[in-house]
Amino acid sequence: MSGKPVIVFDKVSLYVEGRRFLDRADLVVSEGESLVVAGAGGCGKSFVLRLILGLPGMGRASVRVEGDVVVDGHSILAEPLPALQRRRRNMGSVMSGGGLIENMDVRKNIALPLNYHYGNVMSTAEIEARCDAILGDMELEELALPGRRPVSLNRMERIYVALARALVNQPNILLIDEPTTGVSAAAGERLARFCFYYRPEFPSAPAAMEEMSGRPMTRIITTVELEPYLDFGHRFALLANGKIEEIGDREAVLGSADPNVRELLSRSRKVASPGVDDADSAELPPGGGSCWRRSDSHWCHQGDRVKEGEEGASGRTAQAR
Amino acid sequence: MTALIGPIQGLGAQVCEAFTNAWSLLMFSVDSVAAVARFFSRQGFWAAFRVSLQQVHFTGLEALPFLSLLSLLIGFTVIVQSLPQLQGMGAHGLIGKILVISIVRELGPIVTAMIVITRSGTAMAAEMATNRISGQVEALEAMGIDVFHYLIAPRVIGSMVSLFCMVIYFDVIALVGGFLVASTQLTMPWILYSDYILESLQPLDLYISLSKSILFGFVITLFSCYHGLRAKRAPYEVPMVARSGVIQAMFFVFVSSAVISAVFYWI
Repeated sequence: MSGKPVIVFDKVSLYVEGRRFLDRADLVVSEGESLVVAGAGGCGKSFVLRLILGLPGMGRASVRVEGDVVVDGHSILAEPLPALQRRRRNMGSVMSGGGLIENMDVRKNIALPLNYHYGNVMSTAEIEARCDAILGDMELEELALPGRRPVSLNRMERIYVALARALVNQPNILLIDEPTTGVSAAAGERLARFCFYYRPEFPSAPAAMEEMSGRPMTRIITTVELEPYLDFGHRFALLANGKIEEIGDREAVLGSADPNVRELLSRSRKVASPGVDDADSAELPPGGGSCWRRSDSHWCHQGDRVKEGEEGASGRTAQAR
Repeated sequence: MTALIGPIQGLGAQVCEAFTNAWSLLMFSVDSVAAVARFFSRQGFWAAFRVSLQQVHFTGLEALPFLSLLSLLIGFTVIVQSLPQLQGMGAHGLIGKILVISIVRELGPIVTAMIVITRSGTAMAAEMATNRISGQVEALEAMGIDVFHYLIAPRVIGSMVSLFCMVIYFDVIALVGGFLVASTQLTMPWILYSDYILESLQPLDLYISLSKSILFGFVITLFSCYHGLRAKRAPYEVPMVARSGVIQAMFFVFVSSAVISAVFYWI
């Protein structure tokens, strides 16, 4: 990827309640790039995403940040709150566990960013249509039943709903924290496809939203296991000892002799499961920007070998990806 | 000497913590007032307005059955207690004065505030703490939503509106309760009873009573939300912050009520 840099960490050090999570870490993410940040549990991957959002701390924990985090050319840590809030509208985030609002049903959760930021320029019908379109693409229409609260969702459904909420106002930066942890291999692969490839399209958008929705989407996904993402990420980085070290692309990861990388690779969850052919999964092309397209009834990846008209028994598998 | 230093250090630390907390509360109050001031002008108005309506529904409407019973019984009790004394002195005409002083000036705002603290204050503190602990507050921040504008200001406005209406409702029902006793014990007609009340009721009584209701609505929400959002990570903090919010809100309500009454009716 050689697009313009949208996220830059310049010698960032982060201390949370006295514990150092980042130590003069550097990172550059280009526009339209999909970056996978891998690291052992508790090493501070979530803080990388939180720093990009301008939320370095966690709750009321005491935090010290040194260095600079630049997003879209603006120092995120120095920006006044109103400007930061405007900037966050362009960033979709899925935090660990989803961060769904528990006293709202699923539909209201997904519609919340639209209702808050664009409630004065979008009609209720437009907002509802967007929710329906995203849940339809995810084949999770049943979650939109009135009164269906997050408490009744399993972890994977929560992540899907959080992803829908993150994407509903068409951000150009998507941050996802360990989406597939605790999810079965087959379900995790489908979820990973949505995380890396899916970008909803809507017939109309307010002017303020159109401006950003035309830009390529930059995605950063954190994980504790590398192998499930090998086929999806453009670039991989390792967070260890407070440093973000670039590994490179898929081949560089597979060829790396770094014991930390080998360790994260060995945490494979790829278990053959009914409905997913492992051979198919292994031959999938590496992710490449917005390479999902909409067929008559579903979203499919350009690299899918199941062609339209050949769906039949395997059609469901194509959709499930 | 060492034995003396320990307690002094402890006292110093407590004083420092108290000042820090007071400063945090002051900053929180300033941010809340600013959020209330821009409540109607920001683009998230409709989303926040819906939260306000929910708050009015929960704090005001859902409390009405209990408030009705309590206000009726309080009006009833005040007259039951004072009527024998008035009858002994032949001072039936003072019935209006007693009701206005006890119910409209003092009991109305205080009792309503207690109901709101116990019902809504605890709920708000627990809700805020749960929101904080489960990451919902940060999820809102991550979406670019102004937490003060979306979480605090609607609750402050909802509680103020609710308390304002509840105090009026309390006064009316309590006066009706008083009338039930007066009409049975003294066979006093409604016209005469209402004349006594209206003669005793000054505009200042209403202004102060309703001003108290607005002030109490603001501080109850403020203390509840402030303590709720102070929770850090663990669910065991929820009852602790709820308790802190309730105690401080109660303390402020009683003290401010006493101070306001002293300033306007005594000094």
